Amino acid sequence: MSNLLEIKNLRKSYGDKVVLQDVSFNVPSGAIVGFIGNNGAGKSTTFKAVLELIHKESGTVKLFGKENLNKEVKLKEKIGVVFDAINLPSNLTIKQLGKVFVKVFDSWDQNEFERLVDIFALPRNKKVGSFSRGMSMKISIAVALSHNAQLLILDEATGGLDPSSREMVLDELGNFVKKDGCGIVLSSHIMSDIERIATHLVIINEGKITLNEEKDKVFEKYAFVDLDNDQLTLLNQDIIIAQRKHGALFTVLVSDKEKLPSGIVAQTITMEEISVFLTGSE
Amino acid sequence: MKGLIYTNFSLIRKVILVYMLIGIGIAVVMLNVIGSEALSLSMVMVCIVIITPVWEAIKVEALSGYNKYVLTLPVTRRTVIQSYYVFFFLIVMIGIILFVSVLYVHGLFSMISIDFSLYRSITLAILAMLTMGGIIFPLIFMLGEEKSDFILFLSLGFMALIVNLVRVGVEHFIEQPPLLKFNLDLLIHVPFIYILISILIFLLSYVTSLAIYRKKEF
Repeated sequence: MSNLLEIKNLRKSYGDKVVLQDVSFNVPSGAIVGFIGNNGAGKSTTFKAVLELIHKESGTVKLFGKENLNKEVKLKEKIGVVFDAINLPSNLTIKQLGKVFVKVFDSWDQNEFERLVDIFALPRNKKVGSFSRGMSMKISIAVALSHNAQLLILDEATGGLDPSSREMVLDELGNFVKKDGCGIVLSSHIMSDIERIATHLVIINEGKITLNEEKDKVFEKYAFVDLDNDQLTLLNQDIIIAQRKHGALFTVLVSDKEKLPSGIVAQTITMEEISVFLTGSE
Repeated sequence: MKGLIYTNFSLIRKVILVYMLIGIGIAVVMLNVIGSEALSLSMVMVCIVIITPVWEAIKVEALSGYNKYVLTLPVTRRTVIQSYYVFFFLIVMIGIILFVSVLYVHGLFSMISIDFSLYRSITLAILAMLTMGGIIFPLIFMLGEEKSDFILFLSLGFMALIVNLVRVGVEHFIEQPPLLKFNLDLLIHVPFIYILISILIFLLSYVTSLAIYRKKEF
């Protein structure tokens, strides 16, 4: 599987505050990467660095195998972006947006845009600035899906959607990624969305990647174990992903429950639990 | 760039029509009250009114976050800056064409005649507007699009100062010995000097804006 996006050792700081520290992960073709982290963990900053909206300090970002997005303008045709707010010209209607984007994108597909506007039940003659958050997200997603992009970068794109709209959006994203050579990186706080559509999980905490793994592997092999100090010393260090202390006991996330010493009981994990565990402090 | 300019026009389409009507009103009033003595001033006033929506468009883009989103579209930062400058230039030209049209219609019913002095007025107006835009754009990209109202106010003063300095300076220099031999005419040659200075200011501003915008983070 080729990588649509490759991020290697990405670093960014504002003054003394390091906001991204050696961030590395890939978005392979055919994958939906769930990018998880608390507010301020570095998700949006990572996306901004990928899109060259901010200047990275070090590290490399390759999109479709190429660096320097601002000079490889044609690559941007292949990238659909949705930020956590509408970010479209607020004074324009959907009708006008269609006319604008047909002039901006060589690959603009007006029929696909019309189809998405219809299924998302969006009003064509209302200014997008007056849209609710849910409607704003839907029109932003419709735009991102209407120029034959191969990579979608979605920052909290499912936030603010009602359950039925979320279903529709997730279905569309699922259909998108089935197309040849397409992939998605999706940040979200809604773990059910990630659990439903992601193929890979990347968790970021305080600017550092704490987990980068295929989702199926996580649910198949990863486990939580509660251990005392003596049991902890018996544990193979290579399988320890993270640990937290609760009084005299440690809760440890291990990457291979098969390698646990006998007698230690592995607990099954949920998306919510793993997210909370890896995005918390310690 | 076509798409970006179209976006800007779409954003202020209705507002610009309103401001054009206001501009026509101002032109008619100034021509009737002051007459042809203040042709340049009247033209500059009309242009200032007509370019006002340009800053509104930039502000709307910034407030809606489109100024960040636009960089995810298949355009370079250079193209974004170029689109603003071209858009501004087009609006200035619309303002001048509008004023000259009003002047022409007004001339049919009054004693104001259209002669060579009109070219000087037009070039002075172009100098004033390109200077104003030339000051505003780099400041907007440096201080933030949201502060465009304050920047507009600030640049009005600087524009008046620079234009008057250029006007007085050019008129002074063409009468100095080294240039006297060229026998430069105030009505024929000086307008070209104004145009050259306008282009120089606008280009310098463009290069400055581009340098600022390339470093800008969103």
